[in-house]
Amino acid sequence: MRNQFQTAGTAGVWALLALAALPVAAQTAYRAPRMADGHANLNGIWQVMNTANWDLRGHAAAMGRVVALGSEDAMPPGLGVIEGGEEIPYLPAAMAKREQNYNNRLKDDPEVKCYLPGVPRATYMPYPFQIVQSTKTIMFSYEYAGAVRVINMDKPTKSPADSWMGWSNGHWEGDTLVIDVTGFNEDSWLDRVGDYHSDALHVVERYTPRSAETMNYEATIEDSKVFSRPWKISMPLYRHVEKNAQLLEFKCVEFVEELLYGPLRKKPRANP
Amino acid sequence: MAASLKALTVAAIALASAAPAWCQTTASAKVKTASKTWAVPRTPDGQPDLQGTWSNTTLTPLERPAELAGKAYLTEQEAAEWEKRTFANLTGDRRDGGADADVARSYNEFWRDRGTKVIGSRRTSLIVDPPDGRVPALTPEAQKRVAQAAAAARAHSTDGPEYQNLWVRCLTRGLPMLPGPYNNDFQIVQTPGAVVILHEMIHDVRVIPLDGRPHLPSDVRQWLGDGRGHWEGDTLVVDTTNFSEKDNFRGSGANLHLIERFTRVGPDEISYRFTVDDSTTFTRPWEAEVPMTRADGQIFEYACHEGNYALADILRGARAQEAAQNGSKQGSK
Amino acid sequence: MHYRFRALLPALCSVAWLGTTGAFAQAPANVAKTTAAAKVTENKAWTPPRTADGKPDLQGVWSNATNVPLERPAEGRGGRARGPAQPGTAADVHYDLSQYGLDRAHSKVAEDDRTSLVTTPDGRIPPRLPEAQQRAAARAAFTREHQWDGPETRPLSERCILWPSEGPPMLSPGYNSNVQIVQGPGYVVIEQEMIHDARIIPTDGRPHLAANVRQWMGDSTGHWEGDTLVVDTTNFTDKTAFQGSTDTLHVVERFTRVANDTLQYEFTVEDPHTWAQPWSAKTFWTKTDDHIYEYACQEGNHGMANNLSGARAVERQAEEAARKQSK
Repeated sequence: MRNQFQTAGTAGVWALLALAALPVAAQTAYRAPRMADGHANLNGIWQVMNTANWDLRGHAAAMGRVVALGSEDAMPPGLGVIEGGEEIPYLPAAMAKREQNYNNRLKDDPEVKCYLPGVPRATYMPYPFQIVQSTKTIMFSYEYAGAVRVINMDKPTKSPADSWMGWSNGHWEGDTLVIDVTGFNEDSWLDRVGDYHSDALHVVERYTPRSAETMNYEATIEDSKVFSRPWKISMPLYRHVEKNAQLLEFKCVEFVEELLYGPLRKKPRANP
Repeated sequence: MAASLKALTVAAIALASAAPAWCQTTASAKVKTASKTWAVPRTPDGQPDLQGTWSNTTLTPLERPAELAGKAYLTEQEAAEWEKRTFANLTGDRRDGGADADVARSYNEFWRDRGTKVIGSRRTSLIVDPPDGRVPALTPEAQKRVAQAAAAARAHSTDGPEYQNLWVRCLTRGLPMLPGPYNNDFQIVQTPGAVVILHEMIHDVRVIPLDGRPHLPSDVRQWLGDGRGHWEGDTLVVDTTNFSEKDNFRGSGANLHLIERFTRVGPDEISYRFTVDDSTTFTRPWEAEVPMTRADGQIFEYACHEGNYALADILRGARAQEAAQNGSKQGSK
Repeated sequence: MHYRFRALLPALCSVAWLGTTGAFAQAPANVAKTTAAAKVTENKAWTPPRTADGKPDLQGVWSNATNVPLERPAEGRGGRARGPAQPGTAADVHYDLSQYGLDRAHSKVAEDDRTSLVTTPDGRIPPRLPEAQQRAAARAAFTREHQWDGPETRPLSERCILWPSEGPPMLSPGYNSNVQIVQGPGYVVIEQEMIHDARIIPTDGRPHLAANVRQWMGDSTGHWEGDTLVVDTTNFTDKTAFQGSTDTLHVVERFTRVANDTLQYEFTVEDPHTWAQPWSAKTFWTKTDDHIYEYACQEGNHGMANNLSGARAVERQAEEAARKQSK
């Protein structure tokens, strides 16, 4: 935020000093530290601070899905993350499934069952993730469900089979890591209110360092079976700066066994 | 899964047909590097470079088979015969019997990755210490504990998910990194400050910091524990504690203290040694060595839980059996 | 105006009453008068102090209590001033309002001898459009039938969701009429004591929230016009219903500090689904030395539970009686 305390005079002095210090127009874009191969160093533990996982659109607070959880399950309010508008451009024929998803979200949201989150949802889950970048490989390790993606930084290859997390081919455009993701199955969702995709999903992500502790994340989403045109989300990623930050295990498979297999127990649990 | 299996099949054939020169090392307990002209490559920040995709598939068992007691190493001839015999016994790809028999056998070696070769040194066990190549005896308390757990598991194995093993529950393949029937693949990535190991099954990532930070607090327990790494010469030493009481590596759980040593010994091989230290379970620490060889291809997604029909079907089947025994029409669909 | 009192009495949830009877004490000395220099006519010669970033300093704790009714009473003769509340009148025999700070006469008020806050020529809110009257009638009918069904049919104040006076526009609730203003670079924050609601008003010219994001108190943005803070609020929910309005309510407030301890607060209200034209009102807030206390409404809400269980008890009694009769 601009310092509003500056008077015009002080601003003028700073401008003169800035001009004196630099032979060319001042470069205001942040320049990240370098890896040995000259690329921007994106290593670190990152996390979003928004409610995109609840709903990609801007949304007011709302009552939750489970009465017994009261305020803990209530939807928090949030500004949307969709660029240039508030609506996701569903094809008219695709809206019915979106409605159905929303109405059945407690049963059908794959997150409830600890299924892999897919892309881009993995980025904005309310858990940190770690970018592990060497000069040979870039790996994204997500705390949620231990999801992981290895980004192919060599010549792009084709996905041999559909998967939850898709098939990632990456390259650099300056300091922006661009990842082209295809090869999705149709089983993940984009948020908790039932926004979804088909196996034609194609996501292009862009990770751009913007300061020592923040990164810009953008994802362009297209899916000719579900959306009428490509659309884009964007949000900052915040670095975890606490001492000894580390991802911990969130192996939620164990926590959903009662949900998935409780009715198949020999004896129902007294207090599931 | 199909693509990885094809890739692995290719890899298996490649391994079987090539005869790496280092296979002819002497029957010595220490692993020697390949040749004097090869130097371990380094990452830009000077660490020995362990990066890449590696497989620890082998026909060599963890423990020396009873019939080979006292025989620490096989000769080349013995090894070849042993490999042939073992592989033939493993192969379930039979054509006798009809469709039902096929379904009952369900898996043949196309689906599995148990390898076709013993380890290059032809040692008859992965365990190097104790010298008899076998897991040391359990403490009396551990014997009791393990026996009770086994009895409970037998009696209740289909009562609910908790009595099924961790693979069936799609929770983790755990530590140490031992070869199993399939997906014996790992990817190592190094950054300044951390070595990261991705276990293909079940997409487990260990981020091992090298910055000397302490372990997690003792009341934070994890399935794969909490690892801390440092270099001793050209060997990465990873010290892992904070295992969960729900872990069960041959009877050892929360008290397991695992020390792993990674040394790049050739262009296509890492020596992986681990020491198991848990005096509440084993009467003495023990050590094993599992070569990791460069794998062709890459790690694929192992979406175990998302496709876990087995667990639901096991429970469903058990309920159906009970219902049939009770002669009632209960039992879920 | 009178409805507020009726709504207030069942909703005294945070206060443990003892049921002592009592009349008012004599009119307390702290029915404040503002200084003569700051009498209600705007005194344009007075310039407010400035905050560090050069904006008029509106900061402090203000009482927005007033003795002036929102609308001129129908029976009142035009132009006649009303004095402060008389002792011994309008006392509720169950509560000693003076003991628990509920006595309006204890609040600091600015001297204001107008007959309404509303500044229309007849001092009344313009008539509601037919559709608004229908809405109000439907709401009243529904309330008569269902007012004890459950929490959703109870007043917002009883539910501890929102005090209707909070708005915007902000009116005096009758007690706890305390508002604190804090200013930082680019923001003005207005906290109303009841129910600890802080309105964070950015003054950086940003647009309103997207149309599908609705809030009980709408979405406010502000800017300065000379020494006046102008706050524009849209994005109300349809449950806010200020004076029976809908989610197309649009409120513009104007805050001007006209004297050291007097803040002039004006507002204009429009809603094409409720009134044919906008209408405005003006009131004066007076500075107090007091500070804002915690108003933990939800945490002490015995009223709601007691009202509903009482209603269920009454229903059971009626059923019992009906059963006995039919025997």
